[in-house]
Amino acid sequence: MNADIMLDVEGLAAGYGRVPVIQDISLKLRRGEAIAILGANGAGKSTMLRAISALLSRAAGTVRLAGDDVTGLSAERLVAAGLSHVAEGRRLFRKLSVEQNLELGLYALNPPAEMIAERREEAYELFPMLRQKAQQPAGSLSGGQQQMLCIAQALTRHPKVIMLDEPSLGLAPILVEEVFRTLEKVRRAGQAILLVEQVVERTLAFVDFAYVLQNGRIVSKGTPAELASADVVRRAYLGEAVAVVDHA
Amino acid sequence: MSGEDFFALLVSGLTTGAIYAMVGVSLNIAYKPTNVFNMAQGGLIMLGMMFTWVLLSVLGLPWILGVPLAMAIVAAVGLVEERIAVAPLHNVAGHSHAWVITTLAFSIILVNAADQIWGADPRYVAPMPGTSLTHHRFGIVGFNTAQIAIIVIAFASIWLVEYFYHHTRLGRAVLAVSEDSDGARLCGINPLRLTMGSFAAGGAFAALTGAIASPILFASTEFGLDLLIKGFIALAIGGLGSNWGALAGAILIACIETLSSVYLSPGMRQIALLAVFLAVLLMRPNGMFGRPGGREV
Ligand SMILES: Nc1ncnc2c1ncn2[C@@H]1O[C@H](COP(=O)(O)OP(=O)(O)OP(=O)(O)O)[C@@H](O)[C@H]1O
Ligand SMILES: [Mg+2]
Repeated sequence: MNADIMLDVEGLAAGYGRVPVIQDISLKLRRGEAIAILGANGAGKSTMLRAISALLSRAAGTVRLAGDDVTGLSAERLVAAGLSHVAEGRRLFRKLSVEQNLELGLYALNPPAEMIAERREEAYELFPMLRQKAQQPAGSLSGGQQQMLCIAQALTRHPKVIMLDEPSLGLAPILVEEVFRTLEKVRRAGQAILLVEQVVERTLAFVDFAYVLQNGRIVSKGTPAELASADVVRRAYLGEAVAVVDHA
Repeated sequence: MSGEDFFALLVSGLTTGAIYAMVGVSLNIAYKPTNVFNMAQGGLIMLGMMFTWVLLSVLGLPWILGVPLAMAIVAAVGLVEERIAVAPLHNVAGHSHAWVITTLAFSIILVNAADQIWGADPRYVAPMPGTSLTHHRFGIVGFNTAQIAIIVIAFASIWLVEYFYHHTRLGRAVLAVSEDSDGARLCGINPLRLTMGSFAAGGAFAALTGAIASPILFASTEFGLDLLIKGFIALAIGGLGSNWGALAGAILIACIETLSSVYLSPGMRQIALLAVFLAVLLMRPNGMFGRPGGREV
């Protein structure tokens, strides 16, 4: 087994109730690598992340994290094992302060006070505006600031793998750039990134490899260059809309 | 009616309010991480009363030993309730409100079992050591020290609960789970464990409530439901989940109850209580201290 493979998902299937939403998902993510999952609305991208992070129970499949089989771990144990999932929709504890949110982000590590202070400092260095807002309730931050806090919450855990579900959704272009700049730093630090995104071109410019998801199955995969030439991305991503426009 | 009578009623209203507030807070404790409104909370308070009576009046244990012991026993009962009436529902697919039935069923079992064992007669429990029912008077304010003890313990225990939520790691984890359970799991917080802990803590708090209420209400297996309803109204007025809101709501309804027992005919008392209840809900549908539910995205 290649020790450099940080996340190895095989034959994953999951859904809500009896309805399967994703099926036969396999993917690999190496140390210091970034991959993207692309797909239209409703393709099953978020469902896939929820199944990997065990928020959603899996119907089939195995998950390995840095070589260890973590298939049986609960969502909260997986966080401690080094898998961070920044969920869709800026999930913060809105009534609690920025500082308290950062502290809760470290809950899995059961950190001593010095470590909390140290990691908090890291978050403030990454996103300096969080320092000024430290005592404010997270719900009072702007959308962009909330997204930064979500990312900081996950990164300060020093995860082996970080999965982000549409981190740039609803952000101004300048903030989208800031998200990607941060992710670039993360990648250079050797952490592995799994990115679900809507901004296809910017994402393909960033990642090393991408998977295209359609109706819950991987229909295509390859390097950004391979995918761009195949045109399959646009089609899968925009679904019917492309076909209509093409024929117009 | 004289000013003295008025103040005596006010002190008695405050005392009853303090007890209702503790009922509301014990409901909040179980509600926080689960969104389950524990219908058996009244039964747990009743058990707290009965065990206080057994341990203090029958077995003669000192208060400082007997009350914590009653709290530990009822905490265990709360834990059992969570295991058999709440935890199994996590495995039921979909958004389930089955807890209304299961916790109510547990409550019925509790009350019937207690009735089989102890009967419905009210039992006398002595005021806590250092206090008595002897009337004191300062100027126009009349009170007894048992009342003062209840008010002080209620405020102190509610303050302690609030301190726990806002200033301890575990307490904040409970707040996190109550706001966004999946979000909390993604931080490594295990909601199931906090749910168990909260039902046990809710049981202990219920027992403390029963223990401090029993000297003025007497201990009886018939008190549970009435206290549950008063706690619920206090929460509906103060805002579900808010402990200081529970206190404000409880004092309001207890004072209306006490004052109307003198000024109004029995039929009008219920109407007065309902009128205030409705007025608050019309002006603030989430209670005086409640915030609109749900997450804004
Ligand atoms: N909680 C749920 N219960 C039932 N079905 C769901 C639930 N969440 C999502 N689905 C369904 O699963 C399918 C995949 O949804 P998912 O949210 O994974 O898509 P997505 O690719 O993340 O879409 P988007 O780009 O809109 O975020 C959709 O058909 C959706 O209706
Ligand atoms: Mg999604």
